[in-house]
Amino acid sequence: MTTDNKANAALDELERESGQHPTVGKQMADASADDLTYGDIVWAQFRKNTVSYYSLWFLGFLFFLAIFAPVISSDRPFIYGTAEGTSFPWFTSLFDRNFYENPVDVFFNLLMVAGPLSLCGFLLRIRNLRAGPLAKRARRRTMRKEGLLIVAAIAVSYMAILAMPSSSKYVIYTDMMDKAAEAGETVTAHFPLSRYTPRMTGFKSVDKPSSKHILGVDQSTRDVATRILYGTRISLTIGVIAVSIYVFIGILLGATAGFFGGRVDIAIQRVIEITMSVPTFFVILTLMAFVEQRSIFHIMLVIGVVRWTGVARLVRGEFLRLRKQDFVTAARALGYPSRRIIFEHILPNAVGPVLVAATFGVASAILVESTLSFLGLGDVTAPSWGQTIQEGYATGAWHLILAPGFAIFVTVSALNLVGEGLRDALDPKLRQ
Amino acid sequence: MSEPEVLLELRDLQTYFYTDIGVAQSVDGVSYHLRRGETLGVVGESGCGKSVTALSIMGLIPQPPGKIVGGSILFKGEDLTKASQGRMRELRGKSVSMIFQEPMTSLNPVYTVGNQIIEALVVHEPDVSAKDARARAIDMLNKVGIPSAEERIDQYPHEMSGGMLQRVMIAMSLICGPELLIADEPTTALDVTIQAQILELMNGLQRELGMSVLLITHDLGVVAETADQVVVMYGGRVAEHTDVHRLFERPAHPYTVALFRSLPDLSEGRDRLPTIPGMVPSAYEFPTGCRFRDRCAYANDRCAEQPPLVEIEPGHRVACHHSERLRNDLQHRPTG
Repeated sequence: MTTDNKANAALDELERESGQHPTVGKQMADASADDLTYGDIVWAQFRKNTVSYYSLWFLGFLFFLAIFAPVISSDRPFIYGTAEGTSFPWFTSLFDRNFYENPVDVFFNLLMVAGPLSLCGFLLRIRNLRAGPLAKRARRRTMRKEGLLIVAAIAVSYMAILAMPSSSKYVIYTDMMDKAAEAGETVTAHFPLSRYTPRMTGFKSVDKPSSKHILGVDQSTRDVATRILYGTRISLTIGVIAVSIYVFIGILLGATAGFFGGRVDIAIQRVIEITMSVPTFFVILTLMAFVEQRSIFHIMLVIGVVRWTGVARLVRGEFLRLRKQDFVTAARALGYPSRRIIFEHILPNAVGPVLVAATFGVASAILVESTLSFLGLGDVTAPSWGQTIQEGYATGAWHLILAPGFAIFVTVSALNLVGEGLRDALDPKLRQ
Repeated sequence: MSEPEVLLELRDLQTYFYTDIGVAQSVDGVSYHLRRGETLGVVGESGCGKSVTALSIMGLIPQPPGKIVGGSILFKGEDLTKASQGRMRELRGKSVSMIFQEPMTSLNPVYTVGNQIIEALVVHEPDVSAKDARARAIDMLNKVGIPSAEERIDQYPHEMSGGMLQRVMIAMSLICGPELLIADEPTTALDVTIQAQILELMNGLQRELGMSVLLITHDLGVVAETADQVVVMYGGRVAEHTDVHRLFERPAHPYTVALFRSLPDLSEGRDRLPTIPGMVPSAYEFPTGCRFRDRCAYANDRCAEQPPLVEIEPGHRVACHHSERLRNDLQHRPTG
């Protein structure tokens, strides 16, 4: 969502700038038209690809759903008022590790609370900056700096929340309400749209879709719709973090191999080839089988340490191409140390292909996670799309296969379409 | 008037490239020196080793396959061939800088020119505050003649023309006030009018900052305009070394004479420009003895022995057995 908005803001700004001086001399107009950053060019090109563009919006929507899942579905009422007083159980539950056991959920809850606030603040700040005297590029610099500050603040508060002990009791509010009603008390309670949580059990096993459970109930007597909704959080997290891990490893090894060449290159190339010669999926299966208490973090880590070879090769190739470029020789001639040349001069020129590979990588990581869950090697405590399909496979219930299958299909397709659009947008040959 | 001190001295420098097809003796026993505040022009055809010499001075020979196998490079008395990597990094950009042939590709496309100039400064002077660094970068851009430097500083390389970029490159290499600037064909990729501007700029800056310039070029016109001393290189060796007036008036090496003959002369309505017969020999298989002898009109059996670089008159060194004969001939028949 944030990236979406930022990109939109950038484009709005662009349009405004070009439209702002219709009367000033031609030279001025030319100068502002020329004042396009690389990001502007790529974004304008990306927008031309309608399918990819709307896929990006769809991904934004998925993130929105993932972030605001508790608003749609939670068994805690927003407001719970009895004769004894009024409480806000929904809100207090958000950062309660007894209620949301999975750290991923806590993170998304934090985003839900802090995200819109900081986004509003940030947008207001951008508006102020735009009215101010700063030139476009200086403004962008300030915006980037302040954006990073917000991200850092969110990260720090996430750590703080994880470190916080929680000792609340698990209360079932619907039962409490029933009891209170029997006792003749008046209770005011406002619940989210659906009153289920992904871990709530006790419904009729393998129930067909109905008005009570719009996507039915799975074999383990849980509401499928809620599990798919919360499963979005898990899938997106696994995709993004697993890919981040292997992009990091890949860049490190690929850059070293490509930049230094010679024996270092030969050694790293052999490591890559050996890793590639082993079918990655079986390695993942084997590694997962060794883990006793499987969590989604193990899945991310295993995908990350196994799948880096593609990125490493890509980065190595880019480095081989770029290290012969004049600007690298110029950087050496100015006495820059190798580390600086690698990470600050060559790497920014090599990120394009890596970004595309990462987008496709997120899609494939989501598929791997679903497959692992389907094979029963996933995290049983986290709601996962593959797990629901597995229950459908075990019971032969079509609705347990169709809904999560569709979720996987749509997410993976959207990611692949965005990746393709990005690849085309980054390709200067396809630019008009 | 005492002579200014020698800033850079090459002594019998040998840089070879060891590749699969053999050993390329790209630079084979080059000696010359450069005084403080002087401009030394190095001329020669492509592949004669002038750029490899420059890269050897900078310590930027790709290793492997390249290697400095012999000789020494004395910069202010310090032998750069024996300097550590760290020491070389310190010197590069700070004391010795280099500008390149292609300004369009010599700047990193992802950073603004200002950031690149500031980076060059901050790497060597980490204590400079961001504000000062920016002010100095703008000042430098003004010095190299970039109009409205305050706005240009935030532009990306792709928004500038080749001439502007070469000016930026010069600003970048001069921001730390180096004592020696190596310019490797700085004007070859530019328009003729821009060439003149850049040369003029370099001359002006040299006088202003009191630095020495090692100007590598294949353009004798550029040498005539800017250089004080000239080294003519052929086949990885120095053919002739003298000051620019004497070189143009009384050349003493057949190769130098041949180079002058191949310049177009508008006063004489010739149909065809005379060329030097044959090809530049490959660095992998130089002929024994004098390396020019296969293409030289004066060559005889004596040339099988390599001619030493001898001083035929004060400040004029030539490596040819036949320089006397050549000069006698030239007195009767002026060069074209």
